[in-house]
Amino acid sequence: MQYMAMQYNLSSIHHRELKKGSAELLVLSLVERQARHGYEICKLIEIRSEGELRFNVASLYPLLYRLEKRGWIKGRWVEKAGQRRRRYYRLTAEGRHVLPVQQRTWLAFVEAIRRITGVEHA
Amino acid sequence: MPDWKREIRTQLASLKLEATRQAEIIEELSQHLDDRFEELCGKGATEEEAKRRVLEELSGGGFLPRELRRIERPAGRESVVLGESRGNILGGFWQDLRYAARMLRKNPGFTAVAVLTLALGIGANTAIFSVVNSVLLRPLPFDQPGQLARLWEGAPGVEIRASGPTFVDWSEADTALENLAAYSPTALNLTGRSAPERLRGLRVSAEYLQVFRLNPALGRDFRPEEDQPGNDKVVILTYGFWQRSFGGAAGLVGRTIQLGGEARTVIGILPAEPVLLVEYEFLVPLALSGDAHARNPNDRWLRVVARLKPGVTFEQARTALSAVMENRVRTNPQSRVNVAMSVVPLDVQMTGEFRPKLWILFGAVGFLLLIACANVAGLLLARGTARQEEIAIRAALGAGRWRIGRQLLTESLLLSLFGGVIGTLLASWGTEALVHGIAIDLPRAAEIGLDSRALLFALATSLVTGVCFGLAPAWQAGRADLRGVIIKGAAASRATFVSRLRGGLIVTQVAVALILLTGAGLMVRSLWRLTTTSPGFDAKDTLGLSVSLDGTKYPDQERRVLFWDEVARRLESLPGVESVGMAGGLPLNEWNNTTIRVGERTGGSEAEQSVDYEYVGGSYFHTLRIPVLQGRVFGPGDNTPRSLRTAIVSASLARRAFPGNDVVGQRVTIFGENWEIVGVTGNVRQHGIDQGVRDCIYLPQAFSGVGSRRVMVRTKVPPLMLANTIRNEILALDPNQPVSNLRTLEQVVNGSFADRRLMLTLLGLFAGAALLLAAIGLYGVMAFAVLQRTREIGIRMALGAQRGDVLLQVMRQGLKLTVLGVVVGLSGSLALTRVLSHLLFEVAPRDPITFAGVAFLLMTVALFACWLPARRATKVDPMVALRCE
Repeated sequence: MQYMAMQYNLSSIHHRELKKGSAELLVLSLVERQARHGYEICKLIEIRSEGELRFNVASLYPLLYRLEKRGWIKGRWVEKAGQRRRRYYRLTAEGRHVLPVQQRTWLAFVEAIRRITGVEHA
Repeated sequence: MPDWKREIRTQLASLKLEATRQAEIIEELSQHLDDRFEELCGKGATEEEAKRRVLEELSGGGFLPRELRRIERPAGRESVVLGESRGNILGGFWQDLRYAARMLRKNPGFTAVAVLTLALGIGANTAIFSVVNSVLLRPLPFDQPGQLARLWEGAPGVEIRASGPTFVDWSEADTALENLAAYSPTALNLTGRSAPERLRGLRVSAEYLQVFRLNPALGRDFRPEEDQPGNDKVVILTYGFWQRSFGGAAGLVGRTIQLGGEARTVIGILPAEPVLLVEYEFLVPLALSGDAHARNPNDRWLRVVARLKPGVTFEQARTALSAVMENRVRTNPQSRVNVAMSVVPLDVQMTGEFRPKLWILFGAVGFLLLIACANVAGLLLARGTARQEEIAIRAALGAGRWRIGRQLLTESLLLSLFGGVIGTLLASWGTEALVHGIAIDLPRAAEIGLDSRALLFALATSLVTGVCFGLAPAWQAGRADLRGVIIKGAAASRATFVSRLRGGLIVTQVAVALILLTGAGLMVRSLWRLTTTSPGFDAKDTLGLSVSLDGTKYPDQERRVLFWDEVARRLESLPGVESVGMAGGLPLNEWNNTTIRVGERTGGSEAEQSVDYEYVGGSYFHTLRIPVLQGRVFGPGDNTPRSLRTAIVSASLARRAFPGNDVVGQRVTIFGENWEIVGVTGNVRQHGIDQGVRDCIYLPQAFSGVGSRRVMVRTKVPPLMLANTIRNEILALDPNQPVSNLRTLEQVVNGSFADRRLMLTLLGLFAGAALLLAAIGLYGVMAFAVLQRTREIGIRMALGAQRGDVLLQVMRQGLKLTVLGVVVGLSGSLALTRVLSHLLFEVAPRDPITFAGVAFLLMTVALFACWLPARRATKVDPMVALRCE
């Protein structure tokens, strides 16, 4: 469980690409509508995937920093009353262009898998 | 909650991230781990277990650093300063320093102004300190200098030189003194070489060098038997003279030279150091017992130095010596010695009159540094406001107050160190100028220079200065409200605080500048009074010169009188010469003092008067234009050795000694002889224009046993034009009589208040610099205030405010600060100008005219400094001002 726990069987190279692409997509999707901090993103992935997908501190933050570096998301320290300040990430204008492309690619990939696996089992 | 930061830092260590970036990541990750820890605990894990799992997730196989390395950039050469680990203070300091240097480089204008201001302050302080250090602080360059003392007749504070009998008495006080020596300055002609030369030297008793524990560098010291008449034809030369005139020839020792018309054997050469006798060329034995006036207890002409025995205090020495003198009076009531005496530490004696002056200068220059500090602090505060955003960002990124304060303090220190370096250069130049300005008037002037102590002082001053003016901006930054950074509105209260602080600095500057100006003003008034006070004689168009007769060629009074008469006759026949007078000394120089008895009232002490006396010849009174109030002046008939003894008294002596009586025809007893008073002349301030008039009596020079005379020549043309003619005329009379010390009496008069002039020059310079700095500071504050209020002013003008209203409003703000500063400064001046009182002449330390004058001057300058930015405020275009936010 170094990076994320996704339970499908692929060769290790494919596995890594897949994970990377899907993980980026997950994060971009989660900060599309509202700014979220790292732990929140982590928990949302875990909850919405019903425990199937999980990030930890060592895997999430390098990803966030890479996306930020590419200019797809932007982190900002925000202080709220009675709380410690936190770094909230939100989608940038560039990120908004990238997200649909990533989503389409991912859907195409899933569709391809479905078609293949569907034919085998049909 | 466990502290995750150290774990995270360990994980990130290999990445060598920029400090800012690392701090940011650590903060973010540790928050995440806190949340995760709470989550695990909430699910029923023990704290131990939760912590273990969290750390596992963090470290898992080194994934975090591996991934981050691909994304994050390692730290560049310079980084923005943020929080730092405690273990790396030195590294942090280095980082601060580089950052500070970069910030200063970025603002060359600001840096230049600040560094120059500080250089001025530190340089002036170091220069004055090097003088104070060399003259007052450094011990005299002798072995155990603390045991050296100068002895005087007269109660402490009344310094009267010792008579021969008194010196002999003191020599007997062997319980207190290790050595005792008497000396007296003399001047002798060196002949037998290409041209006659007038040399200055000291007649010293045999133990003179032993008192100072000095040994000749070559040859030997005087032997006791050489201090006797007949055996005294020996001489010790000073190192400087030996080098200058004999090229340092070692073979000179043992040879004879023609000094004062006699062959004297050179028995020794003094060492080059210490430079005690820098102004002299030779030492000869005093041979006191052969001196006629050495036996007269009323003739006080000997200077006496002594070395106290180890452990003996100055007071104990005084008690022991007084006891000896009282004993003498008891056993021999006719000895008439003065029982009062004083023992003064030699260093205090040498620097005595300069001590308060130097401390005053040191204080004044300290004030200048204070103003410089306040000025730079003001500049830094203004810049701090401009840098608010930068500081805010740093604070937002997690830099603590201490950390930001430290960074700002580092910048201040760097500024002050730069200022210190340039200041030290200024000081080395300034010290040189100071020494030349003071010339040889200042004791130990030859020792003045920038030594390690002065350099250390410059460094310490720089550091203290840096901390002092750096504290204000660092404090300002420390007060920065973190939220105020993000929420812009919170800046207002801070701005008020800063403007108050800057206002306080301006008040300080104005107040201190006013104190310095008052000091300088009082000195100006004193000097003006001095130059307009008559010394009792007319120094204009008069030339003074020294001629000293050889004892061998002119052994008796007859021959000397003939010579002087011939000098007067020849010089008076020169075209351009009006009259010629002679005396033992030029006016305003040292006069001899004696006790006279008045009329027939012998025995009673009330009939005795302590007076200055002078042997005069030629047309002395006419030449110096000293008015004759009664009787007559000396005629040719009075000035022969066989003449009746006649005397002329000053008006003050006439009034004191013969109240209500006709003075002319009265008799006085001096040196055991009766003298008839033939005239009364006007008072002369013979000890200095700033000194009170002292009673004085003039005697015909035919009765003087001394061959050395000062000749004064009143001319009808500018006196220096005749200098060579006069010199040649005297040489024509006797080619072996060198003429020396040629100068006009105006030079003598001006020289007599040279030290005041120097004090005035320095105080004036400091005050001028202070005024300038205060004006710049005030201008800066006002200009900044106007800039900050551009919008407000714009709105007011848009609403119909007249330019005059705006001008008045802005200026009112500046004037408020100035008036406050002036009030504080005037109270300070009232308290502080007291220390100047002994330097003032006919001006009270609280002279209202001076106080009002400087306050007016300062207000005028301040008005101008406020007017410039105020005028700019009236030029604000309301539309531009409104758009500027």
